[in-house]
Amino acid sequence: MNSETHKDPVILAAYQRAVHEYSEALKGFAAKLLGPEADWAEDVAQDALLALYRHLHQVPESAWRPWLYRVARNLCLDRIRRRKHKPRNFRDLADEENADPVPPGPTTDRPELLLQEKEIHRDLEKAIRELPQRFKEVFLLCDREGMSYEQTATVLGIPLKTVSTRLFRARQRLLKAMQHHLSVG
Amino acid sequence: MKSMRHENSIPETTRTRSERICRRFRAMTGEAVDGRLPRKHEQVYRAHILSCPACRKSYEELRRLKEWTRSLPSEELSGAFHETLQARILSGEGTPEGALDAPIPLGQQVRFFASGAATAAALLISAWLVVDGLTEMKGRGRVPTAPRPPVVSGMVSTPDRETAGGSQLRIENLDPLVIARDLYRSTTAGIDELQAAAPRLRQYPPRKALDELQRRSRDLQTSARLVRALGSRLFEFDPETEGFLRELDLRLSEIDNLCCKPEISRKLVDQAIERIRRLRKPGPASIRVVLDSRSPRDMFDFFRILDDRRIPGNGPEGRNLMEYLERFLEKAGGNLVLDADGRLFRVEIRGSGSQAEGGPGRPSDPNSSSDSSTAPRRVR
Repeated sequence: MNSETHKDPVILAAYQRAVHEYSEALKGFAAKLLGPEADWAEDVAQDALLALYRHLHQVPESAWRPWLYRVARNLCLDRIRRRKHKPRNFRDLADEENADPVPPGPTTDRPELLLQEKEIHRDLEKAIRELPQRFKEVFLLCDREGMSYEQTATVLGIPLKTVSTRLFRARQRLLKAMQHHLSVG
Repeated sequence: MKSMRHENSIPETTRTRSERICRRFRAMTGEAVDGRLPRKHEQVYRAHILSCPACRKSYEELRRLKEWTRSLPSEELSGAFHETLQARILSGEGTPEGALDAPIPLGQQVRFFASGAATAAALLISAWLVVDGLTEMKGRGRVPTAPRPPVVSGMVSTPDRETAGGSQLRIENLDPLVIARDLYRSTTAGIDELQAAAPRLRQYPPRKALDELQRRSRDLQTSARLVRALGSRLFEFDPETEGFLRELDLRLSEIDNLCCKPEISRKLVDQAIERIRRLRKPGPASIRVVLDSRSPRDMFDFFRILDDRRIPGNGPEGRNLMEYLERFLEKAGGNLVLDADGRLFRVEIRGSGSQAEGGPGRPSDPNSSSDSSTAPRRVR
């Protein structure tokens, strides 16, 4: 760790701001990537921010956001890899079945709209969870986190064209899964 | 059999052709929704979806999917998140295992994220938030709700400071009026530059001349639109200046349309140059600061607006207001920091050995005092 860099108030100020700005989004990104192990999402977000602090002198400030997402993705994949080798028990499966990904919190005064919105969110979350990993991460970075194709390509270390193709396929699958909601409106 | 084939052939051909066209447009839907289509294609695409219900439906569906995705509820952090992170930092805990399995090449990071609008926005509004963190990290244990010490403003009176890398850190006091004045001046200077450059472009081949005229007039239009977009948020102009900016935008749109015409000719180039020559030059402007720049809350809201708002019709890149402002500030040099008292500073880190203009600790401009009065001031 380069302690000299950490004395720079401008960098520390920016770091602190980045913590406030990205923590929730990183947790959300990790939760969706981790799926049934979303409980680890907060740890992933924290680990990524800690890693950034330890590498403040190496990562240019303009690259902090993609760097954090890259690290969060690495940590998620690491955890998923470990999960694959771990036998699952009934409790895990039951938790998955009963999981309600939509937290309470009204966004509208009209109950029927609220219900409809909740249903849409629930079904969309489910459809995203069911996407293959490679599609899921591209879709989340582009459409959820609002990154450009170029930024997503950098975070994932894949060519721009691949981002475009995977995003197209992810969207096709989601459109199909959400067709019953789309045909209503 | 022959007659059957004949009966079916015409409608089949028409249908196939129409399907083929629609397939091509459907392939563009994603890019259209993401705003990534080149302007030329975008116009064609929009014209098509107006006339084709099926393609319009695809576009609408994708747009709705994207909206739903963005509106998914966010994950809330546990109450102890920040404290735990800070404790882990202070304990000297190393980088978590598995975090850096595939680090991003530095070159790529810089290439793709050089603009870093969000980071700049973070810097702009950070100091007062972050001063808490700094003191806490140094173990001073202050409470965030207590009045914040003006750490950053304390640096203003100090000479250029040497940073870890041997470069000079320069902190210059700034107020929103300076930003307003600089932006306005950059627009008016842009008119002069365009008018000076346009006649020289006559010697280019017509296509090249029109492209160049279009590029330059769009740059100027962007600058004018930025000033107008910032107006009423951070500052406001007198009605005459506001009218001038509106007219400038209109005239530049006309020049842009002229440059877009399909028939390319020397006559078109001359017409565009003539219109540029006739662009009206502004008189002195009065600028009033609308926002209370001493309030961090106001400034925070302001920069959030900047980040959210977009300037229409300027191609796929840099439509975010913040990016425009950042580019402008980049040219001027340095980053902005807002201090605990809501004052703005330009922080500039220069290479080793270079001297800051205006001398150490002294604002380079007489207007750049910390006293951001809301009274109108004459500029130019």
